Amino acid sequence: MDATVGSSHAFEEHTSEVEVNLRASSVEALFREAALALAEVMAGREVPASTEAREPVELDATDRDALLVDWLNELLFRTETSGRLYTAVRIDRLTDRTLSAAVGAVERPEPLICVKAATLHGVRIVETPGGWTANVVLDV
Amino acid sequence: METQTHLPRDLTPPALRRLGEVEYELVASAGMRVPARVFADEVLLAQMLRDRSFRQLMNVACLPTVVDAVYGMPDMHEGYGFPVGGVAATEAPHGLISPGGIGFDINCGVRLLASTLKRTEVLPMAETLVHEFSRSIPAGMGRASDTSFDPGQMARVLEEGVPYLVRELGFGTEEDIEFVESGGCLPGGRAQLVSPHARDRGHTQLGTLGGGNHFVELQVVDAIFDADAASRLGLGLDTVTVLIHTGSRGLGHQVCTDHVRQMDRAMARHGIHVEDRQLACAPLSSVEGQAYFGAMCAAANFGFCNRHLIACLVRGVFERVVGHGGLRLVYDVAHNTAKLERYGDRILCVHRKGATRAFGPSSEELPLAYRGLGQPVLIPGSMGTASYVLLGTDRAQEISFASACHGAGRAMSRGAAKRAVTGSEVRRQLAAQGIVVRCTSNAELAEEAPLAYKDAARVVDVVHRAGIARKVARLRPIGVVKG
Repeated sequence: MDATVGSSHAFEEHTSEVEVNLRASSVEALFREAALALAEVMAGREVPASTEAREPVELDATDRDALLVDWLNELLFRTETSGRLYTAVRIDRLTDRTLSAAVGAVERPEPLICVKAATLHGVRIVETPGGWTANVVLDV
Repeated sequence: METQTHLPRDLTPPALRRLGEVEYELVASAGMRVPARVFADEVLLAQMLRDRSFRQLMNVACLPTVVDAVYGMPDMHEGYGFPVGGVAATEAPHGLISPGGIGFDINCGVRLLASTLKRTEVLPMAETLVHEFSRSIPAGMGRASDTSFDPGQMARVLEEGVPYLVRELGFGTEEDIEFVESGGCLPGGRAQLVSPHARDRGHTQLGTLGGGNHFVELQVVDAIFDADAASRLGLGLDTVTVLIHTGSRGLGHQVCTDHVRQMDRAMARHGIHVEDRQLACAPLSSVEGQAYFGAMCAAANFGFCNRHLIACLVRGVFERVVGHGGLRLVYDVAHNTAKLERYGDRILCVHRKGATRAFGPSSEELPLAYRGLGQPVLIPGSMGTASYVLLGTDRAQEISFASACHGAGRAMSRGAAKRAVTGSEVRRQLAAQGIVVRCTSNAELAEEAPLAYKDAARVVDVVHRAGIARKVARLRPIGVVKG
């Protein structure tokens, strides 16, 4: 697991979807944790980290909250089309509107939980005394 | 009749005003442009008040250009942006369109096939039928269709829908076309407006079930509430039916993702602010609005075609196992769409998110065989519980934008369901009821357990009592393949 000290994710109650609470010491770590949370939702369990992050990801958005959602949706797209689960993340550059990263994957376990998308519903990256936090609702 | 009613203190506000036997209106609060009305009895109302569905419905009522009222169906529950079971309309051409008002699974819907076979004839073959369904119909994430479509064919699917599959590729029958909502094709579909990402996600998924709460269910007509109507729909007591529930798969999901993103970026330029970014919207007449509408219609056509191809696979299984594939299409309805519909002298863009169109007997959009009868409204129950067939009424157009519920509606979170029951227990419970189950994931089985859903009979009863649609028949499951 590509764990970062102080990073965590938890699943909160939502009637129909999956709501993920993310916590990390930095925004970069928050984005890495989001990738792990998505992989766990899709696999139905924690998944082992892949070895290297080699596939480039370049994104831009109107703001950092939207960027987080775009990030998850890009990973979701790659998982659904590649047959692989993305668990290795290297953040090269992260601004309030852009992301350059590299990701690595493992062959996805069967069966996988279908995640339709990450939504903009209620997403807000917030700085706290302990670091950063955000909630994201995934449509499953 | 208006009577003020305040629910007990342990149920959270907002305050509700009772309008009728099963109709309530939220007392208006700041920012709401139209009333928010809910169809429910007191039990369903109490369930709705346990989650954020009322807040979400109120946010919808705050959207610019919404007209008349926004509605919550009796299966309403918390979603994201729009509540699931929410209905709202804006006036074309300049009213807003919101992808969140349709949802990611564009044209998720239900198709009902009926046979003349009796339960006693089919029951000995139920295990085999369900097994063959699971072998023949790709289900779950990552399972590709056995039928491939080249880019040119896919473009025609997106723009021409079911008629293309029938007339050009030979899937199904000419008769099928008439019994699909909108003839199986929304004419505004534009393939070039569907992004490469959406095509990549969807190109191997046409003819696949997907996952989550999607299913193919073998059923028996075990109750008839309106004998004449049932006869005209081809539903005989104790006969066998098949219900298919799925939508536009990854293609539709990506279309919604793409256009929520685009509209979120464009709202400021249109002077629009929304309470929830997932309600991102733009005028239907704008570049963004037209782009979404064209892509949404294309994705909806993919959804109709997806259910059509699965129906062909089901008929193939019946041919092999039973000896004939004579399953007649009763009707195919969409749950998540935005459709341009005439109400008096207005053309309204009716957003239905987890809601079913319910046109009445007077509608000229009905198949000839159903004119004077009403549009079939197909309401699937939760796994292991009954589904229902209703007929839309003319009154529905006056009170709910001709909209009914779409299912039982979730009553608890997936986490709570998995804490309450295991997938193995659900399998045992279904087996005890004589229901054959095929589902590869115990976790998903637990999430979809009947206890996670509202009482479909109660939900349907409210729709009937409200005068939106009238009950015709009840369908009991004898086998299910879950996605």
